[in-house]
Amino acid sequence: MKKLDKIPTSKTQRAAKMLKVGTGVGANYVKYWGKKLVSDKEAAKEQLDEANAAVIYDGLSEMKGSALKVAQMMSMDQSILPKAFVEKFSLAQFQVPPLSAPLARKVLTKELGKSPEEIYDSFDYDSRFAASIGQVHEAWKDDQKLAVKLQYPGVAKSISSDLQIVKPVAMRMFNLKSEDVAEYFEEVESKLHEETDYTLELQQLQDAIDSCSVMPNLTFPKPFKEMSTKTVLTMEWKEGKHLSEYDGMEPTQEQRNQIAQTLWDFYLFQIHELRKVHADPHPGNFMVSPENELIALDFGCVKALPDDFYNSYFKLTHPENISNRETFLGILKELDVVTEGDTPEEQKLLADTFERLLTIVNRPFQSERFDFSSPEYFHELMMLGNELKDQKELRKLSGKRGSRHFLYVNRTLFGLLGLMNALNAGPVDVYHHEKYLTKRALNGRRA
Amino acid sequence: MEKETILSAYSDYLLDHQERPKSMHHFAKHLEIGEQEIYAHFASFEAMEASIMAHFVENARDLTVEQASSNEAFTDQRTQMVTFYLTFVEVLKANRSLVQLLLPQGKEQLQAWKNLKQAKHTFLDYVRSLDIKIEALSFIPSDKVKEKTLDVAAWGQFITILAFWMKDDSPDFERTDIFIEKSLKLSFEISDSTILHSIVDLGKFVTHNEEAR
Repeated sequence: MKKLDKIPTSKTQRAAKMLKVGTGVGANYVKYWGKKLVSDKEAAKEQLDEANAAVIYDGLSEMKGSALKVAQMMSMDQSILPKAFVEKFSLAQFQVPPLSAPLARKVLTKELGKSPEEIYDSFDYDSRFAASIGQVHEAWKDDQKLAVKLQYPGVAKSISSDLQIVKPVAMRMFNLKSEDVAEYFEEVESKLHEETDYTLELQQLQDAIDSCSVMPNLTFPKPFKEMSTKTVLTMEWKEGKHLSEYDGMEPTQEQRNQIAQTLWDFYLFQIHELRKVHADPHPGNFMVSPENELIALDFGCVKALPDDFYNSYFKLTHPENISNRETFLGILKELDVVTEGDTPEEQKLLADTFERLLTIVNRPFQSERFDFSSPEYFHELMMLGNELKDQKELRKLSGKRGSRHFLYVNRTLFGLLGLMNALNAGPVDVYHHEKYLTKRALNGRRA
Repeated sequence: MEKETILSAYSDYLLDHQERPKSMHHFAKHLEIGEQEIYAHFASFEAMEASIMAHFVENARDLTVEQASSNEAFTDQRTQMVTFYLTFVEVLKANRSLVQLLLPQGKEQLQAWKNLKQAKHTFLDYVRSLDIKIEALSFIPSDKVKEKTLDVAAWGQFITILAFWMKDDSPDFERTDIFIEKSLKLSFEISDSTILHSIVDLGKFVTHNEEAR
């Protein structure tokens, strides 16, 4: 039977869709127990993860909109999720059915006040790319090629109800309790709402263009305010290949290094100078131009780092703050990882765990140059992630752990590490970005 | 007086008075014309009301055909159907109060069906003119049954979309647009044999029923 691609529009219909996901997962567990009796446990578990990921992904992709965004977000954290989940969820950004020409035309006309034919010299109704909450069309005006991003109608309004539906599924997947996640879901919800506002995205893109002009080899698509609204964003069309297809351009090692260095500098500059960071580092959001320039796309999700969070978070990059247990516990308290109600044993468990985690995460900053393509480093990171995930004592800890800002900052950090690794470049100058800074970075070069 | 002028005068009257004129005589007097001028086009108020709904369909059809002939991206049948519906609900939007008056819910629903009768013919004529070939229906040997099946399905969809729009309370009836997009996608891609056989079965029944009469 061919799959009906009917996207549910009301909350009850969405709920029915999620229910389907739920029962599908259940059925996979039955299969898993069946298999477990006859075959090796690890293999069966791997198959189970894969089957569950497929079912959940199919359910989510039919709901399109914000649920898909959540799937994407979960796929970023490669170190927490089993591999199969990550692989399936990473597809999320590519597979969505495009809007028909008449609906695209109607929505554009309603938004811009004039038909696409009147606004642009030419407009191609076959969309060129799909984003999870919109699609990108090619257009021309005054001999300039443009990218017109059009948001699916109704997406913005469905976010809150979608999240309510995704919540129990997500909690089950990550073994969380409802009272622990309220604040996190709030953070996600507000970020998703921001992402549906293309006016904000345009502003954030313009800010990045203005403030990053000091950095070489980095470019952005110029936005056109007069042809943009809350759900339509017109930008300059950038020629190039997405980062995931970079290998196809057959870059030299030198070119790879240049892209890796630019990407690294771009992120550290944003974090330390702007205190506002592009929080969606996945291969679909970056392109490389034929001249081997890095092109940063999609400024819908930008995370601002409040001063107190920034200060506490980056204190953790100094080894002396970690080795002194008293100082270390103080910082963990500032970040809500350790709470006043914790027993001394619980405090010790948390401090030990974070010490191990930070020793690995901080390693790139312990030297002038670091090779992110090293598989050993990532293997170590993932092994620790898997180990922590299964640790019973940690799971038993009550209450929520960690400031809400961790959510997007960690996603950014792990996303960046993933991109750096995939680039397969040589060692990168870890502190190269410092020459662009006007502020003093808290994890400045070690003396 | 022209047909269209009479229809629009009658619409205004309905909107202003929320009921039919007392008699054709009253209405003719209101228009300051002779009764026979109206009878040249319409035999009754019922006929006028049915004509209004058909007129909306014609309006949307003409705009759709015009767009299909001027822009290549809008020529294929599925795109034309989506364009038709999106345009049709725009036409309805401009006349929402009138449509609600002409298509009453609840007890008087029978009146609504009567008022849609002429629109149905106009609509189905248009759909037939598109010569839609559904691959999944090719197993039906009889062209007549095939045509009836498509008629039943197309009209069912028309009613469903209309009903959805009548109840839609989203801003700018945005949800109806999405509904149109999804349901048209569904009907052009449908290939589930059990659903199809049920539709064909219904199409056969309607064909035989009409032959028997």
